[in-house]
Amino acid sequence: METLRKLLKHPEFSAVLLLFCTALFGWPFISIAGPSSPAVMFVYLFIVWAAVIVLLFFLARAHGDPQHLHTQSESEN
Amino acid sequence: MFSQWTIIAVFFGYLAILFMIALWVERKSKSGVNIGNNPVVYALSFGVYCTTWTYYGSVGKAATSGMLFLTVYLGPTLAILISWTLLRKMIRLKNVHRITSIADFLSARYNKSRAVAAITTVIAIVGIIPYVGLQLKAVISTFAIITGSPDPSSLIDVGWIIIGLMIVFTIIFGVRRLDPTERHQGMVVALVVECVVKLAAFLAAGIFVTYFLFDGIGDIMAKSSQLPAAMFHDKADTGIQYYMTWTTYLLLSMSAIVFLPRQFHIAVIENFDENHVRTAMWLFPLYMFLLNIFVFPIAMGGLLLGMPVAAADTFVLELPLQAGQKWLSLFVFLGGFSAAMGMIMISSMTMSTMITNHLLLPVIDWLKFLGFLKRYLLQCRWVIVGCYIVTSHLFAQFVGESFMLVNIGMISFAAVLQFAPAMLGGLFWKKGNMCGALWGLSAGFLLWSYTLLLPTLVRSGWLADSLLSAGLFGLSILRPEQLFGITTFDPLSHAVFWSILGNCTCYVLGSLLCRQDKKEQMIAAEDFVDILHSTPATPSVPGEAFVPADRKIKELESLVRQYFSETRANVLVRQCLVAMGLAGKKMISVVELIELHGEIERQLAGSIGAAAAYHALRSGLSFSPEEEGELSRTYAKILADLKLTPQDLKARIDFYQERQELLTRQAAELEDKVRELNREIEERRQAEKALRESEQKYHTLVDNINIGVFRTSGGRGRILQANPAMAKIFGFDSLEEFMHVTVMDLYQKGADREAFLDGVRRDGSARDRELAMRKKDGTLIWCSASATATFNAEGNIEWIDGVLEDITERKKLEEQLRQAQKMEAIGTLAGGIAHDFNNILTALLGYGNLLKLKIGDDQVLNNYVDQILTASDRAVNLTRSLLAFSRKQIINSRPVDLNDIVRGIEKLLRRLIGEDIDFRTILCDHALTVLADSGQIEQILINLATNASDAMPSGGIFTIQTEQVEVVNNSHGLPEHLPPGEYGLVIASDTGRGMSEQVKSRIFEPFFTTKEVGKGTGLGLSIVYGIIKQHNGDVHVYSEPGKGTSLKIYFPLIQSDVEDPEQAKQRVLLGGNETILVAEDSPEVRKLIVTVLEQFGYTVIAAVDGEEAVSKFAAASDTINLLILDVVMPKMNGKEAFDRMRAIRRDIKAIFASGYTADIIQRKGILEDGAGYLPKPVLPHVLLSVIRETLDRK
Repeated sequence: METLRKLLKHPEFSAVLLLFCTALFGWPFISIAGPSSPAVMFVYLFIVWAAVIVLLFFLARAHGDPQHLHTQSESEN
Repeated sequence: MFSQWTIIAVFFGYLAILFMIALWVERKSKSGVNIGNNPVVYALSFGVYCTTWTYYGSVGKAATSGMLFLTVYLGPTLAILISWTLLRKMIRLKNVHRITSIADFLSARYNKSRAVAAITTVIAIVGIIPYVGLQLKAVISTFAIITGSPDPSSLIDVGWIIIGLMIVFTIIFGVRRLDPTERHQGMVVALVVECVVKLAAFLAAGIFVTYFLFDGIGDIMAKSSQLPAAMFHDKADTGIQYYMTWTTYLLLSMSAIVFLPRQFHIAVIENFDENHVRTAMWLFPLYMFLLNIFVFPIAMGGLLLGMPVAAADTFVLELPLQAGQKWLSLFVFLGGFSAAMGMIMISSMTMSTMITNHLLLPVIDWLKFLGFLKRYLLQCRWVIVGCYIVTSHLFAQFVGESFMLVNIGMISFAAVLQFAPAMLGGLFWKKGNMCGALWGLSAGFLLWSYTLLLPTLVRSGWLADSLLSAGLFGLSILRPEQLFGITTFDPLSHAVFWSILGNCTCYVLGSLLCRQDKKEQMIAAEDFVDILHSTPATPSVPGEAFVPADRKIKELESLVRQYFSETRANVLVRQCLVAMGLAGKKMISVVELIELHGEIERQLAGSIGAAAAYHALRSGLSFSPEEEGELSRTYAKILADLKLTPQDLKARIDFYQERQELLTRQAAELEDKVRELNREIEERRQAEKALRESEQKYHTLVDNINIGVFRTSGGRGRILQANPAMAKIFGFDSLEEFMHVTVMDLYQKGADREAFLDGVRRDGSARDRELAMRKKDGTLIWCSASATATFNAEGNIEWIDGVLEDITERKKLEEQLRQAQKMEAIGTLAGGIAHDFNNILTALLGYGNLLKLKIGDDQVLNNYVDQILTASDRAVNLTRSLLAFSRKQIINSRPVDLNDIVRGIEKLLRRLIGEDIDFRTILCDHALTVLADSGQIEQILINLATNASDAMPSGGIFTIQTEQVEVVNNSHGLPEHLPPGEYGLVIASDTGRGMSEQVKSRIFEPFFTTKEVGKGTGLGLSIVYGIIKQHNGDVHVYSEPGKGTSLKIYFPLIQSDVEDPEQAKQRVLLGGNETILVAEDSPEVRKLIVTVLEQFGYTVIAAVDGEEAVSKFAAASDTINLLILDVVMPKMNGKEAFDRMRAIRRDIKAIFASGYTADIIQRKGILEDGAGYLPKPVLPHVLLSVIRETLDRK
């Protein structure tokens, strides 16, 4: 759990998440359902979206660590 | 439908509520309560992103392009993943530079460039006007729908009313002051209320359509699959193009959430605390999630209900309206109005700031005759707000009609995407410079205009169609939507591709080709890229104070008065002086003067922008020759002191700068290490704390359990560690006292200790070893010990760890159980012997009696027969005694008073024990009624009196006492197995020899006697025990050698008025003439019964077993009146035979003969209701009596 918290704190990890989630919300993942199956796409996109929101919640919490507020400023530059 | 004036009244009402809320928040802020300083308010204010475009346009897009609409909200969700870094940087920069807008931000980054700010403003104006226009268009269109007006053009007056309302509201709350860096809490909270209203309204509409018009999302999805795919999905959009459009939408919306001027304003300018970003990171995506969950179902619902695709933008309003949900429609309309109003309000406010600071002020500076306008900047902003909203409305009127909402929004998004290279480059790339920003923004804007805006104007009829089809100057490679012949993209992706490619290329090339000057380098490196790492500037050392402060202050006030009123200007300068610590000084140094200029510029930037403030200071102020001379002198003195040329000084400065950077880096690394060390210390502290807590838990557990835990040495066993339970088990008052004894002292026998140690030494451990140990007072206790030994290098025991449990009580219970089982086994054996013996005695007694009747008066023979009968009687008594012990004797229970029994037998007992023993009775003063066979109770008393007499050969006292006791749970001193209740207690005490513990433990065993051979049978107390148990009582023995013995016998009391169940009846022994079937396997008994019955007139049919009995009964069932059946017979037992015969004749009566008592037979299910019981040995008079009683019973 602590390892996960540390991982979430890294700005580089946020960038990786951005790339990964962009892939999830874009081609080729959305081509699995395909534009002609909007119902399947609807379910897929909303489930992934909900998962990303949960992830964002934990990401925000990880950034809430008071110690982190200080340490991260260095690593971000 | 509602009338137009009703809706306008609703508008006014709604705006009034918002006005009141905003006013209340503003007033609160003045009293120090910042309602806007709240992470939830901050996060929800991001909802301004969701405009009518979301509210109405997304449904339209969903109806035509499936899930493509969702990219507009997925993009922001993705962008937020890096918002913690991105937004925080921008927020800090805003605070440092008092930035007012995105144009100001870019200008501040790129050397306070007015050109960068101006071009950013122009892009924003051109890009956002259509966007604001579409909001107005949506409001007016939906106004027409809700009021039922067929032609929206007839609503022109209403449109202007709405526009007027929006202008007024924006000015009151957004442009009330000149300093836009001051936060507008009232406006933001009103915006949040609007965001909540639009979410609630859209959810209400979604739930209504999904669950009231249809049976849920699943139902809509199932039905929508029947719609033709082309209905909601353009054929042209299939394949790679679809995904390209999808990706373009994602990219545009990712940039829009940060770079749209209104989003920048909300996210950066209005931010109170950068920690609020953390809440916005998840709450805003959640908000969008909820807002969009019903978009697709509503779109599909509209299509399924046959509404035209062209009207899909208004499905969310039309569906409730057509379903007759008037008030829901009004609520939905109000939600749409909120979405539009929030966006228009923030956008126009932001744009007014940008236009004033970055377009108007440069023009004023350029055209000197307009200089007076500097004093009316606030009023200029009001005008700009009005003009901007009106222009947007006009655009929507003349151009917007040919587009759907979503498409207009995307044009705007593509415009603000042009800010992305300059913004991101400015934040993360130190080499990015003003030149690159100008080139990039210009190129991007031009390409955007040509590839996207131009086609829009063409389609609106403002320009010739040939421009699209033939290209500029008739060159096909310049066709705006297929630039350089690229036809792969859809128009939007095409425009985004070319504009962003051109923008990025120009930005990078411009930045690399043009050199940054020192100031720009410093701004880029320290102020922007390293903002999260910057350290506070060290205070400079002021030089000689020779500059008159008053003169300089007047200069500054004069400069500031160009933009503010005199009072305000004086206050601002005064605030700066106080902040710099210069208030009241007559003279200031040149260094202090320069710093004062910097502070004034910073304050001014909050009102007119960083670029304008910078240029205002540079152009409005100058140094006197004396001041310049002082500066030169200071510089020369430094050179002289250092003995350096200017080039050397620069080289030194560079060297020291590098060194400082190196030191700063080293310091940062050291700080990192210190932080890491602190973290490790903290982790170790946490671990120690956890360990302490764990140890505490362990100690609490060990100290509180009832099982002893110990660590001892080998040999005699020095106690090294123990828990309090150990001391308690061995009866010590404290653990300290216990620690002073050795384990050897706790053993009953030292040999046991040696054996235990041998076992541990051999096996390394011992498990559940039962040990006889002793308490502090010497009392024996039994303990179960489990232990493990730890050996030293020589193989000797170093210590023994183990647990120890006091099992004394368990051992006692085991002993009692063993004793009870032994008595039960003996009783069963005795009962079995007695049963067979009874058959023999039946023959002996029966025939003996018959013989005595036959031989008449022959004295000799009579004497012989009497001897036989006497011996048989003694045998019967012996058998009865055995049965009594085994609790299988027949008892004749009825309510009797224990006192009466004692009184009745008192004389007999007195004679029995002899004259040298003092016999005393102490009887209870009230009746002790028990259900008992009085003869058996008398037998008990006789046996006890006999034993007492034998125990007191030299005389003594024998006392029989009766009393009533109540047994409750855990009654001290009472037998443990008695159920709670009232008991009659008989105490028989003597003052005789008493008994040892060993004798006492065996006194109830049959044939156990301490008397001389021939003087006792050893059955006396066994019989007593059996009778007591048969009466559901219990006995307890107290005896001490030399002092006497006391037996306490408990009988359960009953109510004295219980009716006697066995009314004794004196019957005359009579025979009869009925027919009786006798089934008995014992020939002697069978013959005797037959003989007796025939003598007394009965007709007898004899059978040797159950089977024969059944067959004979079947043959003569009508004539047989009674059955006499032995219970135990070969082939078929009495019960089985009886069941068969009852099957033949239901009312047949029966008597069961057995050596066992009735209760035993009944327990075996043999005796039925009405069946008689004949005990063995069978006596003729008993036989006749039972037969007559059974036959006569109805």
